[in-house]
Amino acid sequence: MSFEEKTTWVMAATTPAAYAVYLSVILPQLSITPASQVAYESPLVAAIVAAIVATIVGHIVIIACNPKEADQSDERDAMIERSGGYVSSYVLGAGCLGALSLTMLEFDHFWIANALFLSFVLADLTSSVVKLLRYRVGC
Amino acid sequence: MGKPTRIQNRIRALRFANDEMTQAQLAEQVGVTRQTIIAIEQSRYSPSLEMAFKIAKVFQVELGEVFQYQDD
Repeated sequence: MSFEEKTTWVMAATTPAAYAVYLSVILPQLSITPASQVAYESPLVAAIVAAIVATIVGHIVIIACNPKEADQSDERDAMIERSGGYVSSYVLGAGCLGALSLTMLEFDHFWIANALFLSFVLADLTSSVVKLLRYRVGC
Repeated sequence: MGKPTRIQNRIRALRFANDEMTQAQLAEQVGVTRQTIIAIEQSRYSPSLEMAFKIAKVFQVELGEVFQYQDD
């Protein structure tokens, strides 16, 4: 498995994990409190920071396990990266349109922020899945 | 395994004919990862024209002796 594929696996694991933890904090509050009063800001920021930190730690572990292959990539990796970014851009675009619609319909900030956050998570996950399929199945 | 590309190759045979060159050695000479050489050998990835020429140059043969396009 190449360095880039390993880092893709890390991304595929850390982002959904951070989002799952975020939901586990927010959903119990949402069941007993109106959305406008849910304190989502700190957990949301914490989830983003945690995902970034976990990804960096994952990179460091991968490099430590095999320093020689650190940051090795070639045209195939670049093509797979572009492919993942191309597909995920549609997911992100759809999510942003959804958030824009919520804004125009004057939904609470909670729903707009969460629609955007979900879009980022789904776009990231889509990118990872597409890239892993390309690595495994071919391109 | 996924759908193979239409570009077939003789890299494996050429490696064997060149002192049983390993995939890692070929990858190093071409300047790509070993996984990319594996993907090309298994017809899971079609290399760029530049990489194809580099591979042919390593084996000191013409491009057509390494890669062939397979019609239906």
